[in-house]
Amino acid sequence: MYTEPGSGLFFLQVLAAALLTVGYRFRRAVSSILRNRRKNDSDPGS
Amino acid sequence: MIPIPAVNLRVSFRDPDGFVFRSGKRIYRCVYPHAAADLRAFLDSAFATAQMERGTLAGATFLHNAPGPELSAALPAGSAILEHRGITFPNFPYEWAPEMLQRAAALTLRLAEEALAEGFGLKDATPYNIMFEGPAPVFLDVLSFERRDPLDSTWRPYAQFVQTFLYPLLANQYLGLQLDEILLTHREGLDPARLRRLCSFWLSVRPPFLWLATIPAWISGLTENSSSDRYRARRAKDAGEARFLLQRVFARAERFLRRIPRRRRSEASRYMDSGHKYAAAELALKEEVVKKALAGSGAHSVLDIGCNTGHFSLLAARLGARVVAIDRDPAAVEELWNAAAERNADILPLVIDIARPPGAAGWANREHASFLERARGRFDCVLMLALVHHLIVNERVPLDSLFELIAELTVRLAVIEYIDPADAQFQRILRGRDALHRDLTAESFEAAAGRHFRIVDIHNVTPTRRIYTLEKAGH
Repeated sequence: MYTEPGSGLFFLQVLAAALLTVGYRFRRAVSSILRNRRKNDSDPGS
Repeated sequence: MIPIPAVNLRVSFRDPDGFVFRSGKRIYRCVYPHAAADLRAFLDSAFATAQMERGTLAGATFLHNAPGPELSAALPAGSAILEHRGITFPNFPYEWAPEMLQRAAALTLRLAEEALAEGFGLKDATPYNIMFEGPAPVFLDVLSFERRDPLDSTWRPYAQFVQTFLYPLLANQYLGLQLDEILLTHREGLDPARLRRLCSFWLSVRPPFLWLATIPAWISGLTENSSSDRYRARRAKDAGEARFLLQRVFARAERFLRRIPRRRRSEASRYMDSGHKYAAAELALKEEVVKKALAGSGAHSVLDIGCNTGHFSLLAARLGARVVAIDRDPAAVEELWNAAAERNADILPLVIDIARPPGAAGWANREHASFLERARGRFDCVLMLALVHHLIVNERVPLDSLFELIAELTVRLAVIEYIDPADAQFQRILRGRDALHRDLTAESFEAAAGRHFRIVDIHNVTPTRRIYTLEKAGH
């Protein structure tokens, strides 16, 4: 059954998620850039 | 809202997707039509199958028809019916030792995290979803699992998990509150503001209280009148991101859980190691008496009342009995639980004071049966060793009443230790109130026992202690 989400604890969860999302997307962006760079380096003719 | 049928059944009612009912000794779950398909998908999943095989999720089988025409007529049309494998001795969170609650919390988090991989989420996280079968927790409420939106990055029951698992454990460890003091009267545990009020200022500004209670309590105060829109699910950019965020929630909760330190041993839990113990030969004799009574009778189920750290519960389990062991000292029960879990012994230890066992609880006192209602007539043998003098001196329980209760609890045997008022331990707890027990003698003890039992055997363990093996009259 659903339960009352608990405002203070819920808010902290949302806040933590927002901060983690920034870090997660930043890491994914960096990984993507590095992956593309490695791909370009290994295939200089393209 | 679909009405609960007006049939004389013990029902649960809180879940909008169905309810549990008992018919005779069997446990069934009625699942409303709107939830049946998802539940089938969940129970067919590899995750659920694996957990049921491990014994961490209650076994459940769909039935083609309702069990019996009366029930068939009473249940909503289109409902699915499951039969559950019952728990041998139902038990509730307010009866658990703290480490048992901790173990149940760990199971809840593990199931919540592992269910993600197959697209399911746990929609509530309360200790009432779990019961212990022997020393192992079993998650019972299969309807707590639901299909989740893969982009939903919020674990809605997080607050319930914190308030019903973590807060009681913290209050127990740091503030000395017993679990029954919290969970018996507060189904939803403690809220942040209440926990913060119970703490001293210095405790409230230290981790974990600062992050788990103080700041949430402050925020709750600020957001009291906020719109309900704030509680909408937060959707991530993609499923991988949502899963990452949820895993971080579970990891954080696990960290808080792991960091709750274990309690120190109590005086009661050190009893067997202390100067009160028996000499080796006396203990061996006591063990022989208990072994003889259990092995001779082939007792399958034993209730050990006042089990302490479970020396005789473990002995009974080794002889093949299923044991429910109760004691009012949480540290002693916790020690027994650890020993039972380590040895995989079929012992369910509970924190219960036989002088005031938990009564029926919940709505109309019908949601959770009392301990005595669950225990009556369930056991082949009741052990009451080194306990009677406590009940007589501290609780002033009349002997007749004592044997009346034991006769209700056992179907056949009782092994009771009589301790004479001249015994040093008796004198220690008497504290000069000798006049109160002038009439207590072995003869009066035997006379009271004889009104409900036949004395099968008597062994003098020490000059002031003897063990009686009693058989219920009529056997």
